[in-house]
This record gives sequence, C-alpha cells and structure tokens, in this order.
Amino acid sequence: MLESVTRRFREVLPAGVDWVSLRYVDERSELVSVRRDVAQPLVRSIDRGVMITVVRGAGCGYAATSDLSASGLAAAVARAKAMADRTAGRLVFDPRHHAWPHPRGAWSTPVQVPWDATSTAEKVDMLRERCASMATDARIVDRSASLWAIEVDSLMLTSGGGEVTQSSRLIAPELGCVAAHDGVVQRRSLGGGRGVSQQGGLEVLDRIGFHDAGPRLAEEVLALLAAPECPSGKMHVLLAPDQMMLQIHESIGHPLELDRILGDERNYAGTSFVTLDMFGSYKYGSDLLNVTFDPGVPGEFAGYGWDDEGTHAERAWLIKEGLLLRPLGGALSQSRASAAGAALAGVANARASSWNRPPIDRMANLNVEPGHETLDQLIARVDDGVYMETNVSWSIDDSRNKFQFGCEFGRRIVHGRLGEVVRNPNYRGISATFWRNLVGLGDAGTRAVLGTPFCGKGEPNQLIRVGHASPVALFADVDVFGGH
Amino acid sequence: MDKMREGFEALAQRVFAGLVHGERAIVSFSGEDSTFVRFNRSRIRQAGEVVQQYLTVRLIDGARHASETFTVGGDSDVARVDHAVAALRGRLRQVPDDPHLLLPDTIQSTEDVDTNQLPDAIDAIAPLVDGTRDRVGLWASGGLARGLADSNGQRNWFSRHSYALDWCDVHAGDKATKTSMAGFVFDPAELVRKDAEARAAVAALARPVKRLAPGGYRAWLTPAAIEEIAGLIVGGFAESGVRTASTPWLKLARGERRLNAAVQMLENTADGVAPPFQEDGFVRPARVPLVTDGAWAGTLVSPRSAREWGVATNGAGEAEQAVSFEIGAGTLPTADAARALGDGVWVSNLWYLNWSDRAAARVTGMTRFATFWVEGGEIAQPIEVMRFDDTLYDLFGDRLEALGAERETVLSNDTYGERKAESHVLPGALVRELVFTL
Repeated sequence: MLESVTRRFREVLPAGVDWVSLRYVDERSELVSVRRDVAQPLVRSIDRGVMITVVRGAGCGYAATSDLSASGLAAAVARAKAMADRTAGRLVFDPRHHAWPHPRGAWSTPVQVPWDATSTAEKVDMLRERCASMATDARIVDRSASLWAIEVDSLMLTSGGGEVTQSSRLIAPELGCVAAHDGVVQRRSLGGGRGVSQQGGLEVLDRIGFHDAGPRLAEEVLALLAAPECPSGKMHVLLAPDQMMLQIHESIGHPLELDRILGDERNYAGTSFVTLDMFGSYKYGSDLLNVTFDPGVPGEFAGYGWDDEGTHAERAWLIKEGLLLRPLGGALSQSRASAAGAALAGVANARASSWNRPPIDRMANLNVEPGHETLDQLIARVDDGVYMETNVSWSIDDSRNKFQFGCEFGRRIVHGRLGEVVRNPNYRGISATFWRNLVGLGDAGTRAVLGTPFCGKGEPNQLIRVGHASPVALFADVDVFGGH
Repeated sequence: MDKMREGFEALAQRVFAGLVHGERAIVSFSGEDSTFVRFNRSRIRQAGEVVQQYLTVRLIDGARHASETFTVGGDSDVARVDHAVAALRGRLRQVPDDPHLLLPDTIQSTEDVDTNQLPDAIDAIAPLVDGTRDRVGLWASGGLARGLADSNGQRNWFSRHSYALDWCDVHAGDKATKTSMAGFVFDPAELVRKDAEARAAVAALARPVKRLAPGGYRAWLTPAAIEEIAGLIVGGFAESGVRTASTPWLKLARGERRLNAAVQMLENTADGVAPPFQEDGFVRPARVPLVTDGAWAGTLVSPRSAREWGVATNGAGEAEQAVSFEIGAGTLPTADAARALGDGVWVSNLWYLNWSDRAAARVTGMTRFATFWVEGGEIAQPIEVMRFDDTLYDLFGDRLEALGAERETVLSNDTYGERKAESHVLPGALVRELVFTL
C-alpha cells in the first residue's frame, strides 16, 4: 500500500504550487473485552486515508480522503489546491514566511511480544481470569477487563522529496471494578480508565502489573466502601503518578501549547495564562520542578520520530528548576510566534489524530523528571495530609488556572505515617501557585510511565494519545475536601 | 450522498452474496463530505475538506458474532469486503457464544433524506474573517450519512446536509461573547445580525471585572450554560448504568430523590435530528420519557442491556446515551430573566464540567465567556471566571425557581472523528443559589 500511495502521489503532484505534502495513515485496532465475566463483542477497525496539504503563494488548504485510488488522490489534490487559492491573503499567518520541510527518515516502536503472539481465544480467556479475580464480594457490582491494541503505519511525502515512514504499536489496557452498598458507590481501576497505556506489544501487560492487579483493586474498592470521607482543609497532598498524570496534563501541558497561546483554541479548548513574554523568565514552579518533552522514553505512549509537520522529534526541557523555558509549539507555531515578535524554540509536537484532521500543537510525552526522595521519606515529612491515587475527575478553567481534581483512592498521612483509607479525595487550586508549592519529589524508584488515548482539543475536534511519566510528588498548603 | 449510498448498497450486497450456513450479516455505514474552516483573529487559520466513508460488517452465526470497520470509497472496496468477511469467519471460531446478543426479528426499513441547500463555506463566513475585531471559531458543513443493511432484508438510510457555525467575539483575555448558528438552511442576514449583537455584547465586557467571593449566589443559567450540563447528564439514563450503580442519577432512579416537579426530561427522536435507527437495526420510538414531573420515568435500554437484564429494549444505541435530549420548557420568559434574577450572576456559558461526587450528582465546573454580575435586574459588570461545585439534585430540585419559557435547539457541534447528528432542546434556568468555591 505504501508503494502504491507513493507512486500515485508522484503522479498527481500539481504544478504551480510551493509545497505539497501527503500524510497517509493506516491505523488498525482491535478491542477485546470482558465485562462481568461475559466476553463483549469483538471489534476490529482498519482506518486508512490521506490528507493532502497544498501551499500556494499566500494560501494554504487541505483535503482528506479515504479514497486511495489514483482518481481519489487526484481529487484530493485538486480540492486542497482550490482551498489554498480561496484562502490566499486571508490567513492568520503568511505561509510564505515559513520554511516548509522535506524530511527523510524512519522510526518504529520496539516490540518484544507481538499482539498476535496469542490467539483471540487466549486473550478472551486471560481477560476472563482478570475479571473473575475481582469477583471477591457480592458488593462488587461491576467488573471489566479489556485490551485495546493499536497499530499505526504512517507515511509523509512532500513535493521536494521528503519521505518519512513510522510504525507505532500500542496497547491501551483497562482493568477496574465498581462496588456499591447502602447508598455508597466507589470505583477502583488500574491507572484510571486507560491511563496505563504504553507502546509495545503484549509485554506491556507485565510492565504495568496487569496480571496481578485485580485482587488488589477488589480489596481497595471494598475498603473505600467502608472508609470515611476525605477530610476538608488546607494540608499537604502526596500525589501518586496516576494522579500526577492529570495534574501535569491539565496545568502544564495544555497551558504551554503554543497554538493555544496564539489564540487558536479560545472558542473551544481555551486560552492560557502563559503569554509569549514569559518564556525564559517566568517562575512556573519550585526549584524541584523539571519538565521535559521526551519522545524517546522506552514504551511511553506518545513517542515518535517525526511530528506531522515533518519535524524530527528530540528531547527538550520545557521547565528547568522551575523556570519556564520553551513552549509546546511545532515549527509552524514557532514561525507564527516569530512573526508576532517572539522568536521561541519549540518542540516537534504538531500532530493530527488521524488522516482526516490537520495537525495542531499537541503535548506528546510530557514528563516531570524525578527528584531524590523515596516514598517513605516523603511520607515521613507530612504532619497532616492525604496521599491520593488514580484520577477520577478533572476540571480546569479555560485559561488553565483554576482546577479541581478528584481521585479514586486516598490515605491519610498523620505525623509522618500512612494511615486510614479515605474515599472521594478531591483537591482544588490555581496552577500559577500550585506548582510553586511543590515541596518534595520522589526518586526514580517512585516513577511510573503512564499514558492515555483520550486528550481532546481542536476545531474540528481531535482525540490524541499522550504520555506522562512522573514520580510521586508532595505539595504543601492545598485545599482538600471529600464527598458529600 | 447518493453516490455514497449506491456504494454502500453494492458492498452490502457483496457481503450478503457470500454468506453461508445460515449466517446473518448486518452492514452499516457512516460517511460525510465536509468542509471545515477554522478562524482566529478574524482571519482563516486552517481550511479544508474531508471525505470519509466507513463500512462496518458484522457477521453473526448463532450466538457468535464479530465486527470489522474499515474505510471505503476507493478502488479496492470489494477486495476489502471479501477480506473482512473471511477474517470475521475465522474470528467467529475463536469467540464464545454471546449470551447478551439481541437482534431485530422484524424488518423495519426507513429512509430519511434531504436536499443540499448549503452555501459555499468561505463565502458564508466572509463577514467573520474580514480582519476586523477578534473572532475565533469554526464553520463545519456538508453532507453526512448513516446506513444499515441487514441480510434479513432491512434497509435504513439517513442523510442530512447541515452546517454548524460556532464562534466567540473576544474583548480581551478570557472575556468574549459566544455565538452559535446551526441548521440546514443558512441565512447570511442572520449571520450579520448575530455578528452585530455580539459586537454590542462585547462592549459590556469592557466594564471593570468584578471578583466574587466564594459562596452561594442567585444565578440565571442560559440555555447555552444548560447545554454543558446536558452534555454531562445525557449518559446518565443508561439501563446498564442503573444496574451497575454507575449512573449519577442512582438515587433518582431508586426513588430516593426527586427533582423539582417542573422538570421534564426526555429523549425525543421524533423531533430531533438523529437517525431513527441504531447500530443493530432497532428503530427508536418517537419519545422516551426520562424524568416526568421531577420523578424518574425510565431508562435508555440497548439490545444488549435488554438481554442482560431481562427487560425490553427501547432502541437505544450501544452507549445508551440520549442523542435527542430535551428538557421541557418552563414559565419564565427570557425577557424577564434578568429582572427575576435581581442581584446575581448571569451565566452565559459553563465549561469543563465533571463529577466531583458522582453518587451525589455533584458537579464541578467553570463559568466562561460573557458571564455577568446583575444588579437590580440590569447587567452590571463581567465577573472573573468562577468555579462552582454543586449537586444537580438541588440545582434542578429545591433551588430551581423557574425554567425558561423559550427553549433553544442546539445541534451538536461535536466533530471528534466525525460530525454528529444529535440535538438538545433546552431552556434556561433560574436558581436560588449556585455555590461558587474558587
């Protein structure tokens, strides 16, 4: 298929344009799931299409199609070219002031145990066992275990000879249970939804502890039923990596997206409290805060070699010792910012959810780098606080400032000791001050590599995969509260 | 859309022609030919067209079934269909019997098509991308189609040509007015009118911003604000959610709580824009009452839930989510809403709602865009964005003073993966107290 797409693209390349790209995506996925010990319908998907982007003078347009025939590609080229002409001189940026690339290279996910190393029947049997492992009590009213395997092969071609091929192999597992008794309902899951998603093959399941987690989740959900509500007050919070994931995502990732700072998202996903003049001078968090864009962490969900604008992806510091250094902005956003008077270095993060959406700035692998304290050391520092695990609720304002998060599971910390389980642990705060109250950071031993397929943004809307690796983190003076 | 329909029918026939040994197949289709024009600072940001066609082949043999979805529309469709059927046949040997499989045993064919009356997208939004002021938004338009063909003979086809234009007119920072237009016939004069209204409303945003202290305030929630709440609750009427205790309305469903007697909620397929059929071929009834006079009235029951829990399906989709959701009108004319509010908060829009305590139907979220402090019934000042945390049992219960007499029809502008054919019809709501926490 790649060869025929390449050949057809070369045949339909239009004359009289400045730059043309073809972005072909072939995404195959399979969902195997078991709920309450019953195998759910097996679902498989093969999603193939191309997006053609044409730059002609002061205009730029795109056309996407699932028709990969020669006539289909030709029609898409014609539509993209026509749209470029319709937009000429009317764009918010001038494409003549951008260096449109012609990248070359290849990248792929390392896989140890391919998805098809086991049969569908074997996977169903395995998931039945994981589901059954949570059936320890009649108060557990719902149990589910599923695997969503995704294979993505992509090809980017440009009119100047650019050619990039990439292959990703991803697994998004899910394991969880719900318990209900006497009007109280609680949920416990592995990583929250599909928060333990990674790149790789079936070896991911061993890496994340999928096979052993069921009994623990069942035990903990029952403990939550009997637990008191999380107390209210200003206190320390110690956040596990599967809550840090959302904290990083909502209050560092999205505010730093350069297209958002440039105003593109104000009608939908919002704006940012970060402005162009803050980079290089704004103290985003305490000296403990070090944040990287890192496409090369083994197994992390949103690793890749090139972004969808054709920029090679490399690790970069976004925040170092609390100082804000660079935005999450791809090459085109950097050109736009430069045209606005802010010459900023960015990262290769312009991505599209699939072939049928144009690339925009998306966080990818966005990580808090570990500190130097063990979990026990961090707990010992807390006189009055709550340890929270596994995000269950997230909300933030459209400038990415006032947030509120809820977790599945909490434990009190009193006088340096981990204490009773508490349910419905929630906290709220303001991004601009919260990160400056980061007072402790776990070492590499506390770090987890997590990811989710469900980051939403853009008009038209796009869901995309992101990765977040983080250690445990301790914050002071946080407004904590429980349920009602 | 006619060409897509012809292609779909031909591929369905190819599938059916290859069935053996009493197999049954359901072939469904989802396609669109859409134009998207995104703009920022009253200039075009990205503009393009997307033609996508997805075919889903579901092979059923007794109680075993599996499905495969793949893109079509090119010159290899027949080969892909043949490959899918062969692969599904192999997969059926590996899956167990499904005890919750339920398929229609009668044939209910439907056809619902319209004519394309849409304008050229770039021409339509020209007044908004003239480089003056600061407008940000999206135009999405085109044909979309849904189809279903069952080897038992049932055929369902639905196609619509619609547009959705959604934008904000920005004063500064997060202060903006939000405007939406959507439908099947575009009126350029209406756009000019709404653009002028937005410009007038933006002027009020230039007044000094009032910072509210956390606490309870009287509030008028516009239909656009109620739309955000609707987006959160439309999944709460699932039969499976009640059975597995995961619905936020569990206390309501069990009769332990009631909403205000003025509250009516229903799934109104007859007056909505959604296709009348769901993924398995069941046809939705005209209306399904969900809340009547404040009391729980029913659930949305998918065929799977019907088999699992031993109840009758009412044609809900697999997700058991309301797609033609309505809240009944009240008695307070919108023109009187500010006067009735007196001193309080005019909440034009809400944002980023989520459950802070699902079992208590407690929701947190933010105010957004042109939300104002009202004094003596008059718009006074914009407010700094505020976070609220409150339970729907109270907001739609004892603290509900009135629902708006006029309702707004909101066509879905969700474009995740594809444009949607869904709608909500919603009033505004005057509440005695909305609790702001930050």
